[in-house]
Amino acid sequence: MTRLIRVAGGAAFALASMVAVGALSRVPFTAEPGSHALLKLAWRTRGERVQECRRRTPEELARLPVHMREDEVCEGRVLPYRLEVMIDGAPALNLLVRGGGVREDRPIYVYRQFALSAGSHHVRINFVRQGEPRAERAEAERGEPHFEPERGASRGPRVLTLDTTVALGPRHVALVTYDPEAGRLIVKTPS
Amino acid sequence: MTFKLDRAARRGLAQADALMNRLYGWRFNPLYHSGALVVALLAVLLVTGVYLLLFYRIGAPYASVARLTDQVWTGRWMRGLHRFASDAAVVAAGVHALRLFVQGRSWGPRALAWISGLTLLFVIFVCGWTGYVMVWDVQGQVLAREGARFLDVVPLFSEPISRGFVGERPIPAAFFFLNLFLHVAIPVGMGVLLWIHVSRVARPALLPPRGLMWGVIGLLLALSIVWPITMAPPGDLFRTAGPAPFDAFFAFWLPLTRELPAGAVWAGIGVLSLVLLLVPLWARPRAAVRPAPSWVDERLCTGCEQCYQDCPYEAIGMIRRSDGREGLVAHVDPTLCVSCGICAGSCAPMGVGPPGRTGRDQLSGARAFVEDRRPGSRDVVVVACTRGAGGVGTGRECDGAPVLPVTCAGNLHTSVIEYLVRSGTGGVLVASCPPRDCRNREGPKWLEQRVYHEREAELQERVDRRRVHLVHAAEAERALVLRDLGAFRAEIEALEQAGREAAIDVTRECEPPAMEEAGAK
Repeated sequence: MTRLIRVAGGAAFALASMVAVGALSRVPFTAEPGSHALLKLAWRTRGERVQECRRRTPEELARLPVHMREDEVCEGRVLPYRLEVMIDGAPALNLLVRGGGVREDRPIYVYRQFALSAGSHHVRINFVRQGEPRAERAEAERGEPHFEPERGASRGPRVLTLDTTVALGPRHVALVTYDPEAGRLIVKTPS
Repeated sequence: MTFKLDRAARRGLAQADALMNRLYGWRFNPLYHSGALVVALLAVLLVTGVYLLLFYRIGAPYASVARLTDQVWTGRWMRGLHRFASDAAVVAAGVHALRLFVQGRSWGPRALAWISGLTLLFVIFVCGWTGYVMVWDVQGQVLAREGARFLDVVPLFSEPISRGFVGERPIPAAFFFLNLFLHVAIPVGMGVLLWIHVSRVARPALLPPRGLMWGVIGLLLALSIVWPITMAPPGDLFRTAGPAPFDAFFAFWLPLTRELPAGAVWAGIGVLSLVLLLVPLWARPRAAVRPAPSWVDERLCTGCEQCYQDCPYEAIGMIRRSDGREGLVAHVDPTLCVSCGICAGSCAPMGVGPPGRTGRDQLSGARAFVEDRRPGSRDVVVVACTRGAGGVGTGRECDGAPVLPVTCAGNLHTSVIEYLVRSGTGGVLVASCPPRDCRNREGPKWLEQRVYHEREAELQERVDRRRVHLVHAAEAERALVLRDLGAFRAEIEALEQAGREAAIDVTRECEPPAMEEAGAK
């Protein structure tokens, strides 16, 4: 009898363990609860790279190996953009977007999202480059350190705007992104 | 507070061990074999994973897994077995870590095993993570996005990885290839980590007993057939993640971290990791109570190499003598020695052992014990391990029987048993932990070999084996020890009775027969 109880107990424990493994392996869970929709802004642009150049002194040149003796030293950065987002007439975001990296010389990225209720929403986006490198020509003519556009660097769009109405169903995600071929912001919605 | 928690944890573990021993016996107790079970389950994952790999397509991850799941005769249960084996591996690894922590086997020379073990557990999680991402259902997509969110905080990448999951363009096959590569390459790293994990133990038991191993695999297989895994909804970047089945073993952290900024999650992970990795520091005993490593008396060591063979932690090596004599002498590496004292039990000349627990020290202790307690010819002396053995070793008596404690059954020198028997004790009952639960891994095993199978330092032949009995009992199995004690006492009593009868002089003790008297009259 004792042996029977032990065997039954062992079997019951084994069965319970397997049921627990099976159940815990598929726990119903909603990672993003609620029926709201999402408006995502995500794009990447190279932006306009400007650089500050100066001439090396003869002493600095002498310290360098022969093959590295360049007369001019340039340090560059990407001009920032001002991102303004209005949703249904209300300001949702006003942000200065700088180039990536510590030196702000990497491409510019926008990655934001807004939770919205299902339905139609009027969205206005302005993405405007800040700073005018050509205004610094006067400083260049005076021989002072100045920023100037990097020769040969591709320039991103100076201004990107979007003014549209987006219809979002429950749990839908609409994506505003930059189409480089079209040269403008576009909206992608669930098919 | 910590002390109370420690005691409560040990009590809980002892009760669980006792329950499992009652259900399955100590040989097949899954708690004792939790570490080996992880290895067996990893082997199952390898075999089933190779099969699943044949059908997985990085260009159509969800569709290929769905096709596989539709294969009722093979693919479905293979996938289920793969998943359930990974879940069971997480459970077994957690149980294994908890046991060793509660038993205080995480510091000193065991610190390497602790840290490598934690790393292994982390690697198992990451491997499981990549495995779920491979399917690219709702769970996989959520795990991928959360992982990207955490990685974006770390200044490793030139652009935020999260942008890859917004839908600007379809997820490239390169991502799934990278994920697949990680999922396959990580197990290779696990092999290396496992090698490190067991590098400081001799004769590691990498697999559980066959009955247990095949039993667990069989149960998981039955589960995958009877309750198969089905496909969750596919991941969709243009829809928020709705209700879907999540694997709690690998995604239990999601509800905790979902609302937190990634930096806070990293801070939490950092703190938790630090606490766990520093267990060897904060969980070790104070220096005053830390046992000292064994040492070798070169004058007595004959270079027989028995301690070198018996040491469960490969802490003993044989080196050239420094006293001019020929041959080798044992040398204990104090950085590897956990002071189990098993070497002391192996040494016939009693030339090695931890301070205070060498064979000579034990004999002195036994002499003092006999002088103090004076066990008689009908008495049974219980020699008990202080860690398990039904908790008997921590007391002075066990059901009236005097108790002589030892720190480990493997530390017990057989000369002590012989001394106790020859000093007139009726019998010696040695209570040890079950072999698979020995804190020092091989104590009960070596003791049994020394008592019954002539392993050095063997119990001499002249000692009546009927007066020696070994019993294995977990910490909460006092009843087992008492039962064996009762039975052993009966045997000793019978021996004593038989001895007295043998000592009776029949011609002097018996009454003359009645007929002779009648005849005389």
